[in-house]
Amino acid sequence: MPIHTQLDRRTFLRGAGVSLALPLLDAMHSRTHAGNADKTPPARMVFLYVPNGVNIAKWVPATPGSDYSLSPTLEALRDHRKEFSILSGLGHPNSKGGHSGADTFLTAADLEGTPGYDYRNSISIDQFAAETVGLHTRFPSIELSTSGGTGSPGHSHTLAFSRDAVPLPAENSPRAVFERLFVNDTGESRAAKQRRFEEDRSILDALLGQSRQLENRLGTRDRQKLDEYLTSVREVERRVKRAESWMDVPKPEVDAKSLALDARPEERGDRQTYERVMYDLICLALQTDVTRVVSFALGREAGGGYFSELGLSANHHELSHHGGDKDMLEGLFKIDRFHLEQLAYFLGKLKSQQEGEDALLDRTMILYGSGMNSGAGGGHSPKNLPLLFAGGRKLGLKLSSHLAFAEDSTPLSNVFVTMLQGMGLEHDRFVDSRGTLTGLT
Amino acid sequence: MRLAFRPTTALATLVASSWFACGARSSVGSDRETANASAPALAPVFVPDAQAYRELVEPYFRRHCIGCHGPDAQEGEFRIDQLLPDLSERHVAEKWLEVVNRINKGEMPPADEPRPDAKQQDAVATWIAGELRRAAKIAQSTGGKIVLRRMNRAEYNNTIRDLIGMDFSPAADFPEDPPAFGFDNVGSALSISPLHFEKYLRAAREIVDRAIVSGERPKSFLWRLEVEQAHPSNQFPGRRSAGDFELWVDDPHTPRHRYLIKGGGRDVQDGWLRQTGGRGEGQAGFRWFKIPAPGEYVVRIRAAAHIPTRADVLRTATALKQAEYDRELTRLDSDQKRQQLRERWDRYVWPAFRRHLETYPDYDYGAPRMKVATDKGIIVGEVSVDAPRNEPHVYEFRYEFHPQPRELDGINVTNNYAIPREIENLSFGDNPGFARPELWIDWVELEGPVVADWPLPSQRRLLFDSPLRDNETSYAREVLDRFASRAYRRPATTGEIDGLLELLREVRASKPNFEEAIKIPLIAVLCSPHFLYLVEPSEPAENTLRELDEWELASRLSYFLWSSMPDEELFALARAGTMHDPDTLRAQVDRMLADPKSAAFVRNFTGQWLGLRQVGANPPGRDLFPRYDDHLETSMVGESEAFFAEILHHDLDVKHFLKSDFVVINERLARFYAIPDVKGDKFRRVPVDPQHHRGGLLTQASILTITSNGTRTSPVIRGKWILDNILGDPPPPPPPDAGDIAPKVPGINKATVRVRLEAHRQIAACASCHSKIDPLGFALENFNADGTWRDREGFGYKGRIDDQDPPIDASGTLPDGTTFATFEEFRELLLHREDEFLAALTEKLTTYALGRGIEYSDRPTLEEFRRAMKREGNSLRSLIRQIVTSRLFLTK
Repeated sequence: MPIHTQLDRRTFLRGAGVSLALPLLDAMHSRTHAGNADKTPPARMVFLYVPNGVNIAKWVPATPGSDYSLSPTLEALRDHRKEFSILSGLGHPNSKGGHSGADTFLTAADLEGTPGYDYRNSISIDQFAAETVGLHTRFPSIELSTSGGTGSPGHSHTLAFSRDAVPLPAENSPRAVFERLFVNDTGESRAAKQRRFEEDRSILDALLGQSRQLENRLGTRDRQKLDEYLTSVREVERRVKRAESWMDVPKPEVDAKSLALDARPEERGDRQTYERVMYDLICLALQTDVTRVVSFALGREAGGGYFSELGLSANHHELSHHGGDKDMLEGLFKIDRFHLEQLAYFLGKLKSQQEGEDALLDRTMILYGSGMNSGAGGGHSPKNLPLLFAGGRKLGLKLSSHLAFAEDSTPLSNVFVTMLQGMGLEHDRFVDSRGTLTGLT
Repeated sequence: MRLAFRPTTALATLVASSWFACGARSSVGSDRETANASAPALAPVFVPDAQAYRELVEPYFRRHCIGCHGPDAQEGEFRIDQLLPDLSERHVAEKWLEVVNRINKGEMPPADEPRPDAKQQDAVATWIAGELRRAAKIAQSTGGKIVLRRMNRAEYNNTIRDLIGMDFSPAADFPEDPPAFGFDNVGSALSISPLHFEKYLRAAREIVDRAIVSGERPKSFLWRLEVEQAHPSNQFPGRRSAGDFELWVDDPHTPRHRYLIKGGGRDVQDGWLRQTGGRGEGQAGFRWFKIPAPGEYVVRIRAAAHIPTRADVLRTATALKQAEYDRELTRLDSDQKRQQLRERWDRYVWPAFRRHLETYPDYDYGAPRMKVATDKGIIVGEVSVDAPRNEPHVYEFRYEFHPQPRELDGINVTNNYAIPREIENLSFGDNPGFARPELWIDWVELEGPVVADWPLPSQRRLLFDSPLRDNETSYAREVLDRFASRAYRRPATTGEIDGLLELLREVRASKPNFEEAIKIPLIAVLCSPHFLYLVEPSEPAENTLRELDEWELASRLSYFLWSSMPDEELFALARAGTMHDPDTLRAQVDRMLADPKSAAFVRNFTGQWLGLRQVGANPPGRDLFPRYDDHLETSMVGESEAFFAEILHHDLDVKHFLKSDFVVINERLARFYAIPDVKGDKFRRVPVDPQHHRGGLLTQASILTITSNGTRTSPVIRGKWILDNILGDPPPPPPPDAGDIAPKVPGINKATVRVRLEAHRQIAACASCHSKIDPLGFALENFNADGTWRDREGFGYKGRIDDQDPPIDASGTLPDGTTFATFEEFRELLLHREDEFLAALTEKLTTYALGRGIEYSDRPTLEEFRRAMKREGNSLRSLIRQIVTSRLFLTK
């Protein structure tokens, strides 16, 4: 794993601005791709989640194909018409619907399908990809959400689940994200850090020794349990090594001045400022190649907050149980539009960042959508999900179309397989996939 | 429990091992054959129910299916005559599942074929569903063994508290623990992943760093804010709300740093700030100060309350309303219009207004709620302030500040008393002239780090005085031996201590002193499998149960009743070898339940049995249910816990869970339930009359809200809740695309939830299960989605109820033909199903006590528990005693 930097400590990127110095990016690529001597910028993937479904009637375009007309909601993305495709008819066959959509959006799991568990998820697509592509970056992946943490089973606040089906806590504070990605830890001297790594190793060694003695005294099932422990200790040993190898690589310097790092999520603050600064941070993270995999939940299921700035008095969740009510559907529509306006901001940003010949957007695949379809009657079905795919043109993705599939015909996991391949990973399966998504490549 | 297999599930996503394990394993018997055997079978296998298959299912298939799915034709490449009733093979089970789904959805036989007899079809579908469940259950079986289990989060926190003597929730950011069989202490489901282990390592470092602090006693700092100190903040351009009163102050404790104090505003009088919980009012707090040293801080607030009476509410509201009336009157330009207005107000507006103010229960205000939070929104504490204005009180909160480098923090005080916005149509909603509970604040103080003793008590506990102290190696051995023997909940072995000493030697040279060096092996102890797991090593022979040793039993008992490690008394019993004595066990149950640590049992058991942990996950929407607020939410959980504790501690008949003539509530709930004369935040037993409609679990707001979907009641969820938790008869899962109920019913203007659901039941596929589920839920329809009692279902603006709305129909017919007309009648019927309830409770409690699912072979034992419990007046305590003295509990 090559982790020698050519980044000059003093060079810095201008935070949310767009004046990014080209030579700098090139320098970074030669770092991150030193191993394969390939100067092509890397592929990235971003997953964006909106809770509680959308007003599907105003979301789905009337006709399929590349000459489709934007639906009222999608009008918000008019400026980026060529940069995205609408995917309709897809769903997660294993999902039960309701408000567990965030739990399964990226995992496609049958949460109640594992014998011996009331609830068990499986690895999410972002983590699946990060296991491989994450080896190149300081952070294999970044998990973001407005609520932060993990939430509870069935009401997840994170989209990311590890290989062991453990929810990975999401960060919701822009400042915390910024500190983690771009601020060098000055709390400890290098020598102190080095010592800590050595201590960790000694502790882990001692634990492995102890555990082996215990292993001999256990029955089969207990030994399987202890194996989980041993595997984890060994994996943490590897992570310690990895952290150690990044120790001398300074984090990219980024100017925080124009970033609204104190923005607060949902009704505790200005929602637009918050969503945009999170997008700013994602953009910076991709630009500086601190990670290539990002997930961000823009609200939490069965909540999602109040949108008083849009003149709505009911909260997002209440509106999702609209029962066909016209006013409530109109409220949902306003919320859907609002989120897409922020997405337009994000796409615009990615488009304006050049790396070499291409825009950052051309090598960034974005899946945006919800895990439920609060359909005509306000049911919470996991079928025919509202989905939008943007970016990744230089990764072989075909955009600017409405790809309409018959309900139940095609799993959403097909999109995941397409994205894996877009990342350059040779996989042809993810959970219930039946191939790549026809029309997207 | 839901079924383990679905036709659409990719095999790759399932954890196959446990499924195949039982099929492959040779076994001493089947779950059917061993049901009456005295020794539990260790690895049950699925024995096909050949008789029912032959008599019921096969004839049905021959008549309705085999024509297209048999030897002559194989539509969909499927032959039903080759589908055998051995569901232990997963691919076979998946086919059966598909069959039952097709039947239930009415897809098979197809519409153009002759209709099967509905009763017969129902019997076939029910049989298949039952067999699927039975097979799934056996597949999950651990053969009656309790699998090596790690501590869950609550147990980890409590154990650290008792081990180190510091209570600070180090497991707060550990991943959520996955529940199995309804509980999150089931070893087979509790796994450890790399993420867990990273957290364990980090938590262990933090724990020892907090527990052992070498060097000088840290200095303590004090900040103080007088609310009248701050000035209007519009002198700071760019700040959003010009109405705030703020002041930058040079931080006395950090050079060249300023912090911001917020306070005052219009509402400061004589140096006191008045907060009424309205928007945009004056705040009290500090922001952006630097914590000079991590540790425990104390927040002190001098505060008092003014609680207006209903008469005050009536008076102030009437005055405001009168002003509104006068304004409207002057706006009119003719006598005729003025006369019309007068008549309209006299006839409609004033009477409705007065009726609302006189009868709405929430105008019997309670004490204001003082909420203290950090800048990051973490709640330090919230209390009801009831000190009158002429006798102010200093309220104290404690909080651990452990900031990141460069991190700034703050303390904010607000009045979190929520007045329902029922009066939003009245023009004075936010008018300061309207009487509201007032919180008065004089000053706010922050002091810390608080160090009562130095060295810290935790340090003195770990690094105790000893004659060996001068000899570092001997002392280290003594320290590690004592610590590991408590952390591992049994005497540590010499080999283990040698290993830890070896670790100490490795790091000693790089550490400035012994205190820092000993931390490393202490961390290792806290990351050891002997600490993280409740280790009960097995006998070499796999298929035998062995008796727990003394130490293992002490741990099992303490994790059951305390969710924590054993205390000195239990350790002493283990050391003396008397733990197994049944009288000792019974005496310990009484002692342990009397200990405040048993609150963990109440919280963790009820949180999962009753689902209280879900309270607030999907709360009633604020718009539709304006009476729901933070204080109500915490009070709801408090009620159900306190109710359980009342029955447990006073050894009351558990039938009180079904019906009681008392409730255990605080003032907030009393107001919500319209029960008079309950003052203060403490939960206490209050007798209730029939007109209150309360008493028993099913009348508790906690249960009623978690079984609603946030916008309306859900009789299906409620019915299922009763079947799962009260009657112990969980219904099979719905078919994959069951869908939501129809929003509208053609031809009915105001279709109630019940009417809409009944439309759903017209569909034959749904009827068979829903006729069992729905009536139970209908019985609770008088309780709205927020738990309030209602006589009608509201169709007005934002769900408000008016006299024209359809009345609630809480009547129903149970599958056995019994009928009831009202909730109260239904509750009586439940009392007659006492045995089912006792069995359900027994199963839940035994699952929790053992940390494993109940096996078929456990049934006879559970039946004994139930009978014994009944003999002893349905006492929960007797059930606990039964469990802990049983073979199930005493063996591994």
